[in-house]
Amino acid sequence: MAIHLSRRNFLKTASIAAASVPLSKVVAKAETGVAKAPLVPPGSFKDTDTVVGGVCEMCFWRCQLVGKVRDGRLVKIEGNPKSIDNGASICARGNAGVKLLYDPDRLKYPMKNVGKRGAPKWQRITWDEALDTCATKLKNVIDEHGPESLAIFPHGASASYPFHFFEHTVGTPNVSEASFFQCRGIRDMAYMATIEQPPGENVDMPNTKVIFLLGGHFGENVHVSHLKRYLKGLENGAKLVVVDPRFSASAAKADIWVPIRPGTDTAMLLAIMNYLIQNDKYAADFVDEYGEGFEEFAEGIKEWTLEKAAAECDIPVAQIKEVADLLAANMPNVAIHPGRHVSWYGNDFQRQRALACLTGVLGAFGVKGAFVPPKGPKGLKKVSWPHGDHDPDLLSDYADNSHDFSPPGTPTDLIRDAAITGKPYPIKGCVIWGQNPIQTIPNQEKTIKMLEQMDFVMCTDVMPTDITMYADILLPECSYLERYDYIKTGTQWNFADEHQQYIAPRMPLVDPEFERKDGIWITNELAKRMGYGEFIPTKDQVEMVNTRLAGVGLSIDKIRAEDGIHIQPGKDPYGISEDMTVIFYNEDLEDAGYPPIPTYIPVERAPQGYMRLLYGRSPVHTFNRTQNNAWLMAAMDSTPVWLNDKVASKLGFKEGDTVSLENQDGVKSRTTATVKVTPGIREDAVYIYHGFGSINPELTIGHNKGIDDTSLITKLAVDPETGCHGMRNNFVKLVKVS
Amino acid sequence: MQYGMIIDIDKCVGCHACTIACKAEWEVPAEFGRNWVYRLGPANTSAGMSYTYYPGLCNHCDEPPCVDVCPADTVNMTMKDAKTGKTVTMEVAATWKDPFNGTVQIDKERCIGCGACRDACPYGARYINEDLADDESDGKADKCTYCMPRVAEGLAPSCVQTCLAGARIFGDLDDPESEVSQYVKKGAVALTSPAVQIGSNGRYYSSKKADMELLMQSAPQEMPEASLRRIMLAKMSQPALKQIKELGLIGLAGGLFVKSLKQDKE
Amino acid sequence: MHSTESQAPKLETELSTEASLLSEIYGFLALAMRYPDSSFLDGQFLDAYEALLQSLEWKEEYADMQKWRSQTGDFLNDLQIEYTQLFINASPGTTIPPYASVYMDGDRSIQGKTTEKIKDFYRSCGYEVTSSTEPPDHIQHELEFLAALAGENRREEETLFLHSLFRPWFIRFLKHSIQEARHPFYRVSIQLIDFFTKEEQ
Repeated sequence: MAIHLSRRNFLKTASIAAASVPLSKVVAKAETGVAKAPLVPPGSFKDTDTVVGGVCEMCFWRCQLVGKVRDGRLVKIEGNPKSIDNGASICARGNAGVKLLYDPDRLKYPMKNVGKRGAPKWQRITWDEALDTCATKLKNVIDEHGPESLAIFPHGASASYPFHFFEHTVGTPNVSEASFFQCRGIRDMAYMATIEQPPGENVDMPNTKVIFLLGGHFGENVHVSHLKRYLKGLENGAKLVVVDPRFSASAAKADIWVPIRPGTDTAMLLAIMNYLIQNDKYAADFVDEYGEGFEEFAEGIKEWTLEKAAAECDIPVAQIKEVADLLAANMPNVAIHPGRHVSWYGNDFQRQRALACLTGVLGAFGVKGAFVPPKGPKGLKKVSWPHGDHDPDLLSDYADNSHDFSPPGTPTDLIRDAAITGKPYPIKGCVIWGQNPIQTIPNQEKTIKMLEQMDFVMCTDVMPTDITMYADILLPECSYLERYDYIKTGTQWNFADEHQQYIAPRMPLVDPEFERKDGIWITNELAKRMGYGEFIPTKDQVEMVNTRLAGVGLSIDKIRAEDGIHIQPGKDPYGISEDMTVIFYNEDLEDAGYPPIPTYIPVERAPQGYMRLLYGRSPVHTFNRTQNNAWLMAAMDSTPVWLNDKVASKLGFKEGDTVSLENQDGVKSRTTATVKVTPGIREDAVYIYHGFGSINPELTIGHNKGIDDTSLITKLAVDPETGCHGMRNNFVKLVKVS
Repeated sequence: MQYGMIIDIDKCVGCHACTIACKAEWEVPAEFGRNWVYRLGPANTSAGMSYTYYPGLCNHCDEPPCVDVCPADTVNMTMKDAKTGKTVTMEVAATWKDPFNGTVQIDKERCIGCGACRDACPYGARYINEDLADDESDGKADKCTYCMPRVAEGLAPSCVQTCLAGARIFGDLDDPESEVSQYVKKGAVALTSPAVQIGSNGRYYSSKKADMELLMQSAPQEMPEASLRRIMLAKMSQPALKQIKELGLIGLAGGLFVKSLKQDKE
Repeated sequence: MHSTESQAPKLETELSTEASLLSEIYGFLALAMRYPDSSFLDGQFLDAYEALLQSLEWKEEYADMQKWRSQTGDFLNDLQIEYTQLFINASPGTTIPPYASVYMDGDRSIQGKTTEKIKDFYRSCGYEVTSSTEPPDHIQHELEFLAALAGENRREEETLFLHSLFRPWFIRFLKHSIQEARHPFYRVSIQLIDFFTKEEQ
């Protein structure tokens, strides 16, 4: 650039026709002086308003929050001191919510993709254009192929309302929720088939004598009130048993660490139960009263001697016996934790059934320290979309395996397969709401194939993610800090304390910026444009929450006046209901062609030269959702590869070596990480954090950080009863990168 | 009184909330921290395998090497005891140890951002906050204040408030009845080594031998070189120092610091 | 033939004419930094833009603009895509968010402490950003604010704002945008902003 003039000279001499500009956005007010700003931030408590009613969604435990707001800017998030759940405490992610709220990479305006799916080029458009396009395109798909041709991938509190619109009113059954099909759906269905209720994480850890964890890595997996229960239990002297191939954060606090061979947990559980039954160390009275099919069950697991399990699980006989005796000595006051993310090996329904049965064998229901569901508040009204008269055509009716114990929705791979093959019918429209199927669903290539053949893909999210790159229209949603939606309910965290219940509806801590909208508004506008306006169940987010609260005589205003949380007297959760049943032998399972008693199904072991890829939680991240958070990424921005020290010296790897991972199908990780050499993992497995290695370059911080575990899970395992994925059946080798 | 902090390692689950709450409270740039959590292990120790944490922060030491090295001009500062209202006037540079509550503090307005105090701390508890650069400096020294502005308002330090495990205990070590003192009696120790004995008021407790053994390996093994030199300088009497200053020698030293700061950046 | 009596008022008039012209330019550049829509970004706007380049004798930049205008089928569409790429969400590549706090607050944040300072500065001068979907430290609003100050001939505050709250982040923004801004309109606009906000030697 050749600058011939200085600004000054230019201004002196110029006579140009620059348009005279109306400064419409700048409004003059009274004149004052200019003050110097102080150097040191004043702290979150100075000159701030405390805004109540926050309910966290950095993860899905949903701690109650307050915001410290200075002049419209959220300076800090704290736990709501009125909370009887998390109290004033929140975790690292909860504290870092501010950085999600104000992330410059966040979606700000509706955009259309003028490039290609997967290689997008974005153009900001108006909401009208965005909604009109979505409505027309989705309607075209429905008109041409029927409502079943829409696939819905929702996740999170704000996704319920839109997906119920598509599922109930529009009429597609093809909904795949990550929280079910890639997470805890198996657990819920297995417990339903055993004790007729989903278990949550409802074990009375503070008042127990033994905490038994299968893979639970509390501390790395952080849910505040859950951890408070766990820590209270340990403080009160509970023994801790941790079964995990890895010396996890929980194993480090355990009295007994069982470094089990991955995939063999059911064998161990069966052996424990068999040993207890054979040696008359089980809760015979409880089983008599509440058990169903116990004899057949006891008979059926007889083969599982401690020795047989020890060989299968690669652990000492004495250790299984030690665990079994510890449980027997303390029953029924033992907490057999049902787990949470349990989509591991494709044999998981059976393992979860075995856990539920073990709880029954120990009589560990309804008494102190056992499985005890909280008695939370009841009576909130439901607000949802009405069911249409369309009788949906189910993909499972066509499948070889109909996955009769599937969680609600349609198993992910039935949807993907139908989309890719066009059989039994085409899937041509896709609505993705808060889920990131690239990072949640194994075999990314298949997911991409599914997306590429769609006529239309619509995404709604808070952040750009790997999946948003595949959107035709991308809609920016309010975060959990800027909207009303979820109503969190529960009880005081420790049942030993005074029984109380709480109701905490999510309220915004700040107003939304840019053109971000809440999910109720977006869904209603879409529904109107698609011709479903008459079925809209609520006019907006405020009305929805107020209607729900009216069921218990409350309102947003009332609860706001009560500092964001309504607290009322609670009920004693202990005791067993009369219709309690533990179904040891399940005839429905038998009728559907599945094993009626918990059965161990072996999984493939690591081939020569490979190790099983295990993944888990980083304490400061929630899957891939927090991967662009400046504070959390500063705390942990990679996936150290846990490698057994003996294996490391045999293979010639040193601490800090940079490696990529290559799986059994020859798929290489796109990125690299460093080796962490430790005695704290078995020789047949490696471990990394889940959720890293984002592809999307729009994530300035998260892009290409660490290794994406999901990219290496190419070999699919599907749990036969539920149709949920098992994601720990892939094997990797380390490749040194110079 | 001497404020101090105990970290109960038995309770700590390594969730890192303390580090993020602090960042939010004091708007600390992402890449720095007034406190930290290092994950240690899993590693073998003489007492078995350990996987534990080193949650660290400024130890507000009895003999803080960071205070003596500050080359900023001194001023007379009147400090007040929050409890009794008693005052005392001291000649201090831009950082000092409070005679009433034992905390080590920084005056950002007078800090010249030379980095001498940062280099002097064997625990690495200080950093230069480049966000606070002004006409006179490339940034200002920053570190944990034990949240004194919060404590003055009757609030707990930010890291203590957010800790879900109740693993951080803050209080007066001079009060034998305080919880922190009870922990000291129970065996809470500072991360010290033969070479680093400067009266740390941050202490760690664990009932597990393996965890303590691994944690103690994080103790600094030597005093930073610069601070040894500085401590010698500090041993010179104040009047002597003043004379030297008038001769401009310290000015030269200041120039050297600026240079070393620049080298660090490269 | 100039008497001392007439010289002083003449200088004042000159300076105030200068200020009002500067105000118009700031305002014009503010518009260039706003998401383009048909309400303002039309042929007339681009003509004025080219006229500005011509009168500055920025020949290369003028030629680049002309070349683009002659080639494009839909200049508004072009600019919308380019604006979205550069300032909203870019893929592939990186955005250069046009917010002061992103560059000043150490951890890349919208609504940082710098935003607070800027909002306070606006207020202390009697201004407030209203009815905008963008934060107050968006480059568009900062330029509008400068336009307002220049319009009132408040040179001292203008200089103070430029020196303390505009140039420090703009320099970093400029560095990034030189790498990322390929489209002549935005590349030249950012250079124009640099030119008109740079302190005189």
